[in-house]
Amino acid sequence: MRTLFKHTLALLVLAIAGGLFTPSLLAADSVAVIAHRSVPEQELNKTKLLDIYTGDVKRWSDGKPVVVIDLKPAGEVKETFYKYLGKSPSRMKSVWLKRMLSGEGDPPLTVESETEMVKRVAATPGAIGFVSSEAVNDTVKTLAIIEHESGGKK
Amino acid sequence: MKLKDLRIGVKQTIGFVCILILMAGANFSSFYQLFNLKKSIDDVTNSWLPRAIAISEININTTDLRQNQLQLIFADSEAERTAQADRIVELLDSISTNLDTYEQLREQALVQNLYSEEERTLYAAFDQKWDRYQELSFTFFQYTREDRIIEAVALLNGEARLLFDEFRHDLQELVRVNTTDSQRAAVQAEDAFRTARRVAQNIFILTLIVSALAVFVTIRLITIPVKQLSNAVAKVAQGDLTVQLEHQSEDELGRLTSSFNRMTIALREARAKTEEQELALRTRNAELQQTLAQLQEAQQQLIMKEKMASLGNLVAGVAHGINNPIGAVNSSADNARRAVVKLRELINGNDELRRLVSETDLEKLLNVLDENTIITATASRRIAHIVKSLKSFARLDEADFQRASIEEGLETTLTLVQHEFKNRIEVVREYAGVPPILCFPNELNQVFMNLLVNASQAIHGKGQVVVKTAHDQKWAYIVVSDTGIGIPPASLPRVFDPGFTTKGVGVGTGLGLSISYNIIKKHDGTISVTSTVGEGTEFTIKLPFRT
Repeated sequence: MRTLFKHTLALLVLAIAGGLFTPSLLAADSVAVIAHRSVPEQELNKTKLLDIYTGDVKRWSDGKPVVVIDLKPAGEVKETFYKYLGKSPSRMKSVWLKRMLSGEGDPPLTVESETEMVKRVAATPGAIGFVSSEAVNDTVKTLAIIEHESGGKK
Repeated sequence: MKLKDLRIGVKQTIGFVCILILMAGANFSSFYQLFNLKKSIDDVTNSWLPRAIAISEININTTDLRQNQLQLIFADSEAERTAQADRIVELLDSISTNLDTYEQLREQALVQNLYSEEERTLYAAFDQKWDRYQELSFTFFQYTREDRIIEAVALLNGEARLLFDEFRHDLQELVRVNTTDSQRAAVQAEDAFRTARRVAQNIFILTLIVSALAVFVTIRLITIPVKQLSNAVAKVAQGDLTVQLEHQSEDELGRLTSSFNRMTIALREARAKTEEQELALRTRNAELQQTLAQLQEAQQQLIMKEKMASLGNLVAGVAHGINNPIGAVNSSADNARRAVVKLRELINGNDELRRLVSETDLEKLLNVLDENTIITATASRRIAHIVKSLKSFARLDEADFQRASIEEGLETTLTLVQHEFKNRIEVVREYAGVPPILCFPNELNQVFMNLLVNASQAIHGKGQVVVKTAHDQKWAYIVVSDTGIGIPPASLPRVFDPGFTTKGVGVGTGLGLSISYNIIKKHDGTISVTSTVGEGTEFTIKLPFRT
């Protein structure tokens, strides 16, 4: 109880500070790369993220399998995320198709909304996904923040 | 300052700069148009066509993909299935590569503003449908893997087929758009080429015109004035100093023209002064010559007067000296004649004496005496006549200017030159009975003497001299002609010049005719000569009657 309070307080302070001093960091249109809390990695760079999403990297550093989850509806969040990776959703799908045909793995699971994404990631060990920063809660861990346009490019 | 007054160098520089600017303009325009042309061609070759090709490739690839998907369903063996799968992977690779190419070209086209809104919309639509088709393909491959053939066929012929048709339509549209655009670019290229060619042609013609103009201006500004100047200089060289050039400009040539004009004026003034001096010199020279001639004439007259005076004195002395003895001879002869007459009377009155005379030769002696007294009387009369002629010729006993008979003068002179003529020359007299005229008789006699002596000397051997007189109301004429050797035509105009003589040294002074000319001139008369070599010479004197 005490710990929870502390955490809540810290988050509040962070949120206020962030809201006050780093508005861009927590802006409405930034995208957060989220993962199941059991995932050992604390952060991911772009290369690593791309390797995971194309299926080149299939396991986390602790050897547990990676479960990639894709957001099905097109929108600002999805666009920002794929732009950051440098591949459009359709191009990414080609990669997945080839992988599937070569027998190297199935395409990612898909969810219909950001809420579902957060729930699914929180519920699936080794899962990784992306949602808008606003949708993030402490049921998942954040591995990266992608700024729309400026922060997310290249 | 006007243009024409600029220096020639500046004028030429202006001309060249104009031509240079035009040519630079032509080049710049050509380059600009060529740049446009190249851009248009580049657009076609680097942007529109490659995009169209990439899209066409994708179109083919997707068609193949669908074909292979169908074949995959009905693959008999695992091997065939794998082969089909590999083929599909290849197609997907190809599609990805072509999409990469297309997107790269699209980036460039966006920068160059060659990406139309229509194409953007079409591509976005295609991408979305392609995305969805691949999503369906996941399910399709899932079904095939699980051998759910009926469901797989249903999917492929159902939603997937609709999608396929739709994005194929999109791709075709994209190809059409790009082809249209490339055609448009080609048209632009052609336009640019035409414009470039037209502008280049126009500027080329303009440059030609300006060059021609520059040449024309150069000729007008330099060549023509230089030619005028050179012509003017040539005229000056030939001595025409009235040349003046029109002053047209203030440039080097203009200044040269001014200098030239000043030079000709200076030359003209100098020449005028020289001419003036020359004229003065000539006038003075003429005066000097006239003075000299007068002096010579005066000298001649002086010499002649002196001669005449000497001759006069001599003649006077001789006449005086001869007259007395002649008088004595004359009276002695007369006495002797009268004595003979008395003697005859005496004889005839005395018979004894008459008988005595008839018996002796006395009668014969008386006849001799008679005869001799007559001869003596005649001779003495002749002597007296000659002396009288001498005195008459010299006219020592008469006043200078008086009325005298020309024919008498001629006779007197003929008497004096008788010894020159002797029996050699026959004298023919044709006297018209000219009345006496006012003159200096002794001077006229001198003229007659000169003419007669000249005639005598011109006749070698026997010949004839004709002395003829005539007169009218105003004039008396004397003509003296001979049958002598004549005077050559070359010498004829000079016969009255002082010092001119054809006779050898010592024969004549050459002054005779000159003096005669002056004497006749003094009488307001004229003397003229005609002569034919080998036939003779004729002198005509014309003297006025004075009242």
